[in-house]
Amino acid sequence: MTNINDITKRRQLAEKYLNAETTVEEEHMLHDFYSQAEAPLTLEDKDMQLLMDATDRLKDNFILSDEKAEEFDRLMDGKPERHGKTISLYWFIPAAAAAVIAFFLLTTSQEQQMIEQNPVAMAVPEDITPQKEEPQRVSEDTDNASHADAISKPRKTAHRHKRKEANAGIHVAEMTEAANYQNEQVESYQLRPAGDVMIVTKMPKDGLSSSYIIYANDEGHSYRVMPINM
Amino acid sequence: MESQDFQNIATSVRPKLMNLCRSFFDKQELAYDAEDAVQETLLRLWQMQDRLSDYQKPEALAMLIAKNVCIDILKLNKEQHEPLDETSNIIGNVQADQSMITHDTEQIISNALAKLPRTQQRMLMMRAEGMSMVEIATTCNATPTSTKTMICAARKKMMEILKIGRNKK
Repeated sequence: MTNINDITKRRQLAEKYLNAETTVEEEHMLHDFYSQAEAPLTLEDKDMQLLMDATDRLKDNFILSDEKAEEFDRLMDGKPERHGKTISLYWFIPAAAAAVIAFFLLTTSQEQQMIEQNPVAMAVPEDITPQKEEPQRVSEDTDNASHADAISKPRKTAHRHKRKEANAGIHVAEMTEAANYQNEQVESYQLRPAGDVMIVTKMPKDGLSSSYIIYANDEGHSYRVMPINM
Repeated sequence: MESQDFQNIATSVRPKLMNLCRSFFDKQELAYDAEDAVQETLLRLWQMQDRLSDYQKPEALAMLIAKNVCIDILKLNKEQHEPLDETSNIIGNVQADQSMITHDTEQIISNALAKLPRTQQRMLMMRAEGMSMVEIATTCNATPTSTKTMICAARKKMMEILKIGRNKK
């Protein structure tokens, strides 16, 4: 066994180490000496100490992970990532249901009140009112008054809209019942998530179905309804 | 696991690992050498020799490790290609400055390691883990003589870079 405390022997061993002629045991001995060395070291020893330190840093403690293997299989199968869409739909479905019911209840009741109290023009923003189901009522002689209404009414709608959003988890049957209560003879609603939006198809009893796209604004703080295939 | 057992496993599983890694890099359009991934896999298999008894089939374990290695490389590749924004550049510079001031030695070592080719780095690591020359040769698909030559060259080069770094300090 080499006496590593002897400087001559240590230099010989270091030379062997650099030539890759040392055994694993001799290398361990060198490593232990330099990692624990307290006595003042020569410049050559300091270089060896640095080299030992450097090779130490190469050691890599890896953790075997089943998740990584699953990710590998998923990538090889070309399947999409599992997260993301599922999570977005999780919040979107009840929120969209709430938005739909709020939309149909409010537009129907507001229009009825409008007609009763102030039978003048009402310009409702097209993102809230479907044009085919709820045709715009325009009166030629009351343009100014109707403009004021157009500004104030959607604001009220937005407030009430938000209150309804809190009521998450509403079923389609309840929506249908609510719409029928407002004299809209709706037979059923169909909700279809498509990516980050929801397509709602209203099926009235007269057979003329209509569809809307609902999507979230401001990270879900408000919702926008767009009529399609009108 | 005996040294001969490891060599047998490494020799028999190497072609399968190579196919697996190659197909992964092709599929992900990664310009990465499958040989490196196989070497890394076999090194990790060797590191796990104490736990090998927990696994019924070492080959299946090798494939599992290879999948881990491939995902690690993929993630590393993504990180390297992500554009740095201004903030992270500033943070990076500050961190580098602090590192230069407080950890000169670490910086010298990191620079020296970075200048070695990947295979030489891995061979040094294998040796530091206690693998014999024959085991390293099997893992790297090389002869023991060329393995010894490469380790020798890597150590001498490292020593040279470390000396230059120390003198600059």
